[in-house]
Amino acid sequence: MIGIVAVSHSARLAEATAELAAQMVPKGGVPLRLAGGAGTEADGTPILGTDAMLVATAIDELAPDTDGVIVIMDLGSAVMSAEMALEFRTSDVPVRLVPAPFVEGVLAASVSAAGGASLDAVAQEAESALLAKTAVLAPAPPSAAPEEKPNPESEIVRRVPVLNSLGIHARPAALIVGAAQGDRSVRLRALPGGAEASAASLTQLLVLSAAKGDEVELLGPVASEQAIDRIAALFHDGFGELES
Amino acid sequence: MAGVVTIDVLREWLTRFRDAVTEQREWLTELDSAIGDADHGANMARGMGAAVEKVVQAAPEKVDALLKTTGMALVSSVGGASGPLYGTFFLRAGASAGPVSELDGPALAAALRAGLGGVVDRGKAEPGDKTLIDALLPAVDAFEVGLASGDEELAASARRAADAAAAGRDATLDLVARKGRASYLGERSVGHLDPGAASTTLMFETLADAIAESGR
Repeated sequence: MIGIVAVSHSARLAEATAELAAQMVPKGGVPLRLAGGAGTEADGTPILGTDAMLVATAIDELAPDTDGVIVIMDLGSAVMSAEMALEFRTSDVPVRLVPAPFVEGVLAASVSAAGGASLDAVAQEAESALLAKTAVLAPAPPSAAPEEKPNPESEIVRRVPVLNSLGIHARPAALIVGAAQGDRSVRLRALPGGAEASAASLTQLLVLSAAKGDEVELLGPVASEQAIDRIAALFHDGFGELES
Repeated sequence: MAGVVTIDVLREWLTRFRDAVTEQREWLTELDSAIGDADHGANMARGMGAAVEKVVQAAPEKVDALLKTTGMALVSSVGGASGPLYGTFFLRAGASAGPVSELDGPALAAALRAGLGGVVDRGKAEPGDKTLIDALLPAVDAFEVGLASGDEELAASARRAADAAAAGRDATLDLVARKGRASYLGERSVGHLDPGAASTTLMFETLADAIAESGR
């Protein structure tokens, strides 16, 4: 699994971000270490800042149990401290510093890492973590590209209803990523005519913006039937959010 | 021979630099409050305080260990961007100096040049960006020019470096910030000295003082 180091000027911001991320991943979740703040003043006041050694230690702590580590940082000196940490760390697991928005990036990376994604895929997810917000606030014009027709011989196509009242928001999307277990060939499409989103990508799923009452098409090769079944079951179960 | 700088002089330099940033703490913070996040004075005073404390504890006998101890302490305790920047300066300067107990003029120049290179690598700033580079670069240049032109004493070259740093610092007044938080202000950063250039000038002034003092 891929580990995540969250670097923030504020220890409290790092902790709160971890708290948000923890809501999105199953229990035990994802190897996440925080490097927040630069210690405390003599009187105990937390110092806003970053500490390269803290970042290096966090990377080294994750290294033995992970296949790679991505580092997501907030602003300013956090970037320089993360770069310096690469010189100080003693482990040799691959590390990637990702230019991602801090809160969204840590969330997207956590979900992706918990789903078993590779270092590249986790980094990619974190980096495109603003897509969901961009899609809402500055939607791109509809694409003129012709829709790809799935080949019925080799593709499974299944229609499922969105039953839960809030639609495919962040938590259901995270459950879908978990159910996909890293299988990027499974796609989802909000009907009618929505763009396809990979089931393994939190950020793409959030762009689906499927609401209650919508229908969603699940697509994928025959080899992915089990993943499709798991995802379909989540939809039919209303993602555990149905009023009883 | 234009003299050498012993490890005792370097230790004296670090102590004086700490004292200077501690005394000028309010001023550095005031400069930073105009164009940054108003913590440069506190950060540098805390960082150099920690550095001198570590140096006293570890009592390194070689120049590389002395400067490495200083750099590591700064990295861990400054908090802001000056931590990695000054930290890298001292780490690279120490690596250049090596395990020796004193530096002659060219060796000191090489260490300062290596430190400058480290800051440039780390911060990716160029001259004119309104950063500490605008004091650091002319200071290192002036030190080398002093050596090349045959300043009789090392102290004279160090004084040239301090004067060049001060001139570079003053020139940041009219610059538009292009790096760090000050860059968000754009044109509104004009008319304010860069706090990093100000603390760098203190670093060279205290170096010149420590060397001059040792020659008496």
